[in-house]
Amino acid sequence: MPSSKAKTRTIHVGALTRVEGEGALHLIVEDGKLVDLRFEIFEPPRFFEALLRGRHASEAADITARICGICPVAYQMSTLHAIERLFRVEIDPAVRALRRLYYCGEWIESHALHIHMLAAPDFLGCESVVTLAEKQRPAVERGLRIKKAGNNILTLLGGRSVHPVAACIGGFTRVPRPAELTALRDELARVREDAVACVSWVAGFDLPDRHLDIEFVSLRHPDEYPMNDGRVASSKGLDCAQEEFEDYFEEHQVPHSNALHAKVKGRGPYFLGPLARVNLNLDRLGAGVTNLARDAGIRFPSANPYHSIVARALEIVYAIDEALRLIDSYAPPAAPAVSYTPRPGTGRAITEAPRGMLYHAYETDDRGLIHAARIIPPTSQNQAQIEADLRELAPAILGRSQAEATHLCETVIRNYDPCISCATHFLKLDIVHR
Amino acid sequence: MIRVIGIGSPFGDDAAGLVVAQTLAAAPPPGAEVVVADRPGADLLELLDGVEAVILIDAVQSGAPLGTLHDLDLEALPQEGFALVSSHALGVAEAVQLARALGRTPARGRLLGIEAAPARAASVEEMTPTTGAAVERAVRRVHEWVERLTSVT
Repeated sequence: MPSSKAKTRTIHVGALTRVEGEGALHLIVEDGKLVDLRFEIFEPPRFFEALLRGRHASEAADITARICGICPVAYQMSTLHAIERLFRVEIDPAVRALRRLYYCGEWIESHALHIHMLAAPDFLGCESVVTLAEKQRPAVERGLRIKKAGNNILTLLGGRSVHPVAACIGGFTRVPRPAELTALRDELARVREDAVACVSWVAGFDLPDRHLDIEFVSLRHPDEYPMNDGRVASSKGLDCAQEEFEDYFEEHQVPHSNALHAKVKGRGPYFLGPLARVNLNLDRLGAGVTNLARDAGIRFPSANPYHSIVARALEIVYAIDEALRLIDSYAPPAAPAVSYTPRPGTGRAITEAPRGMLYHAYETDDRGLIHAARIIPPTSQNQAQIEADLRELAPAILGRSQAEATHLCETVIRNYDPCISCATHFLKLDIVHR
Repeated sequence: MIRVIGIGSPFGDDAAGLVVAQTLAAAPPPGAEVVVADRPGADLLELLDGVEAVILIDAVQSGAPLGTLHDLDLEALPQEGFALVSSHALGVAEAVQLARALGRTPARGRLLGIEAAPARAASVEEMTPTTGAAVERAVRRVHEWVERLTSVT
């Protein structure tokens, strides 16, 4: 019987915009109930794990860095730490500090890009960063300045800002002279003001009030905000070594995605990324950064995924402070890289990519040739959580127009800053209301 | 100062803009600096900034015969109707559009487009011969443009 209020609605977003890579969303609502929800990643599989087989361990970091144009440092770091753990390579503390600085550069660059070019338009009624630039030019200029400061760290330490090349087993192929690092200092100190302004800017957005039952997961380190090291911790009490990751987490296939889904064994979806890290490591951020959150009126820990953008902005300030500290205390290592001897076995490591934990495992033989590789990127781990988040949202979209419903769903997805290219193994929106 | 920016990936016909820039970089036209920019994404904004004129060179697909050279004014690139598909796909037109919104576009800018074969129709290793043969003509065209732009400056 025809009625003015259709009982079934379909929302289909054929190609999600403002995300990294290609994906879609398909939702079917029947009699006010969500009957089908598929967050589809159709960017084709890329077979990196297979093409690493037979390669020498020393080639792996340059291959995996090609997985992502936004977070190549994360891929290099997880690869190198896994292999160094296996080969029992002890890196120089100065190299460790440089790698942390290198990671700060990537967080700054990736977070600034996501906040200003991908997420902010959602909250300001703009179609894209171009319309945002027309409305709020100083804010976009500010974002670009922050991003550039991050790029410059990557260029110095990695040789170039896109697909950097200088990180290697045991260290770097070249380390900077102290004067080269000092040259970055003034720009970082200047953009710190921009980053502080960015925190109050995003905290001032009309962020919806939502509280979900979420298991947040991130690394946790005894004294540091986590980047390269730490144990795996969750907001529901999980605590394990990086090497035990596969004992506590599992991946499974779903027909609608080229990326594997993941869950905490015996429980369910979990949430990775800046909000998880801030929630679980508030005491490691330092008063300078936590006071900014307090002054902006956002309380952490927070179970509101919309607070992700605030967490991301706080992490930019943290990464700038940390970069300045590392630059000021830099003394070059004795050698850019320490030597190593390949060993047979399996090495596993997790580092904190801008989007969350990135797990790598490599099995090598006594010559250092790779027999098996496993790469579990943060976006693939977040997929099930994104679907859970959308399921919670479903009742709220029923009374909305197609355009509003679609925008709401896309905003929820963008809270996770999904990097679909990395995960494929992302978005068109398809909502069916029956 | 004129900045000549070659854009593209090293694969197949998409390399056309890069190869032209590499050739020009070996003997840059007087008054111009040449940047082999690979796929600059959002970083193209930086490259458009701080110069009087830019010449962008990129592979394009319009349905014209392979190797056809297209001469476009940057101002004439579409002004509306773009949705940024992703930051991966922050293409030349989007970057130019964002630069324009930020008041960063140089006073003069041209795009030299080289008609290329679709990725699937071309070899990953090398350019299709017809596109490859356009490289030399494209290099000459850039020299002419630089000469004309510097004589006006």
